[in-house]
Amino acid sequence: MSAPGPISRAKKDLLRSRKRRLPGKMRWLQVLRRTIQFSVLALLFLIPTLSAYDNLRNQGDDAAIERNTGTKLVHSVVGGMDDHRSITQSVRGSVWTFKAGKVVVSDPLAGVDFAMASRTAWDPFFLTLLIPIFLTVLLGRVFCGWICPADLLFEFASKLRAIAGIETNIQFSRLTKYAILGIGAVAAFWLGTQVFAEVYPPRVLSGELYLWISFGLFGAGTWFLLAIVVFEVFVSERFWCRYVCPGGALYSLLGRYRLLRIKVKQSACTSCEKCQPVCEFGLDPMRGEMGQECNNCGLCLRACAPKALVYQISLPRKGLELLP
Amino acid sequence: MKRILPPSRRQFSAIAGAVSKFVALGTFGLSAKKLRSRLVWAAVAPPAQQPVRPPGALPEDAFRADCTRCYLCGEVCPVQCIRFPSRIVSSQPAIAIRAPIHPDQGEERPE
Repeated sequence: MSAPGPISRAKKDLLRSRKRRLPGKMRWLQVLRRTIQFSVLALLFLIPTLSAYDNLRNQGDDAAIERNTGTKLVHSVVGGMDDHRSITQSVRGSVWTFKAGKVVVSDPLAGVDFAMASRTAWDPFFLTLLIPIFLTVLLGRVFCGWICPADLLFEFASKLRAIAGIETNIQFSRLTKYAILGIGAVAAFWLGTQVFAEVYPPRVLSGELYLWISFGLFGAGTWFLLAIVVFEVFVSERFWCRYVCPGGALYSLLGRYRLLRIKVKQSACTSCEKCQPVCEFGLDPMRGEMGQECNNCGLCLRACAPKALVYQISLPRKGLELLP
Repeated sequence: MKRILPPSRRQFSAIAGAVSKFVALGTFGLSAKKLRSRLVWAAVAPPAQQPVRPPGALPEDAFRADCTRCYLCGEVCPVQCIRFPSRIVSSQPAIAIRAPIHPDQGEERPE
C-alpha cells in the first residue's frame, strides 16, 4: 500500500460521499429500495418462525413456544385466532421459491437448474418463473439490489470498504459470470443434480436462516458467505455480484432489452464523475455505458448533483443511453 | 422421459459433495482420517445407504434432478423429521432416521 497522496485522498472522499446525504434527486427511491430489501430479509426470518410455531402448536408444546422469542411473538399475534393456520401458512419458502397463498414464484436460475438437471423441456414448475421473467424483461436486473438478501450483505461489505478506506481492488472480467452460468448449466446436465442452488448466495442465505431458526445450527453456507464478505472487503469490491454470480448473469441477459433505463442528459452532465464510484456493479453511468448489467437501483441518480441522470421508459434502441 | 443416471455419475456427485464438505468443514476439527473415511464412504456406499427421501418423493435419480432445495417440505413437516445436510453441496432433504423404539419399552424419545 502506497502512502495516501492527494489523488487517493480525493478518491477516498468520493467513496465516503456515499455516507453523506447526497445532493441528487430521488432519495425516496433509495428509501423504498432499502424498505423492500429489509422486508424480504424480515420475511426470511419470519417464514421459518411461522413454520416452527405451527409445528410446536401441532405437538401441543406450549412451553417450547414460550421459550423462543420468535414463536412467542407469533403466538401473541395469532394465538387467539380460531384458524391460525390461515395466517401462518399463508407464506412459505424463500427467495428461491416463494409461496404466498396459492401463488408460487421461483427464481429463473432455479428454472435453468431444473431444466438442465432433470433434462426436461416442460414442467409445470416453469410456470412459477413467469412473473420474475416478465419483471426482469421490463425492468432489467431488478432482483439484484431490490430483493436479493445477499445483496444487502454485500452492499454492507462495500460500505465497510469505504469506511475503512481500503483501496485494494482486484478487477476481473465481467464476462466471467456468463461463463460460470454456462459451465454450471452443463455441469447440472451432466451430474443430474442442481448446482446453482448450492452456491447461489440468496438461496444459501435463506437456507442458512432456515437451518438456524428451525434447528439452531449453522451450516457450511455461513462460512461460504462470510468468506465472500471478507474477500470483498479486503480484495475485490463486489466480487460476487460483478464477476461471479450466475443469477446476475441470467438476469443481465434477460434484462438486456429492458424498457426502464437510466440515461444521461449530456447537456447537463458536468463530467464530475461522482456517479462512477457509487455504482455497486462498477458500471459506467456517466458515459451511458451501463449495458445489460444495470439493475436500475438509482444510486447514480442520487449522486448526480446537476441531475443529468434520469430514468426513462423507452423501447430499446442501439446506443441510446445518451440524451442530448 | 427421465433418463436414469449411471451409478458412476451419481457417485461423482456424491464425491463432489464429500469433497466440498472436506473443504468447507475441514476447519471444524474433524480429523483427516475421519474426513478421508467419509470421502471413501461416499464413493462406495451401497444404494441402501443412500438417504431416505421425504414421503412420496420421486425415485432417487429423478429426485436428485428435480429437487430445487426450496426447503418447503421441511417447513411443512409437522414433526420436523425432514432434515437438510448443512453443507454446501447436495443439501437436499432427507429423513432423519432414529432407531425404532417399541412403545411398550416406555423409553423417552431422544431429543
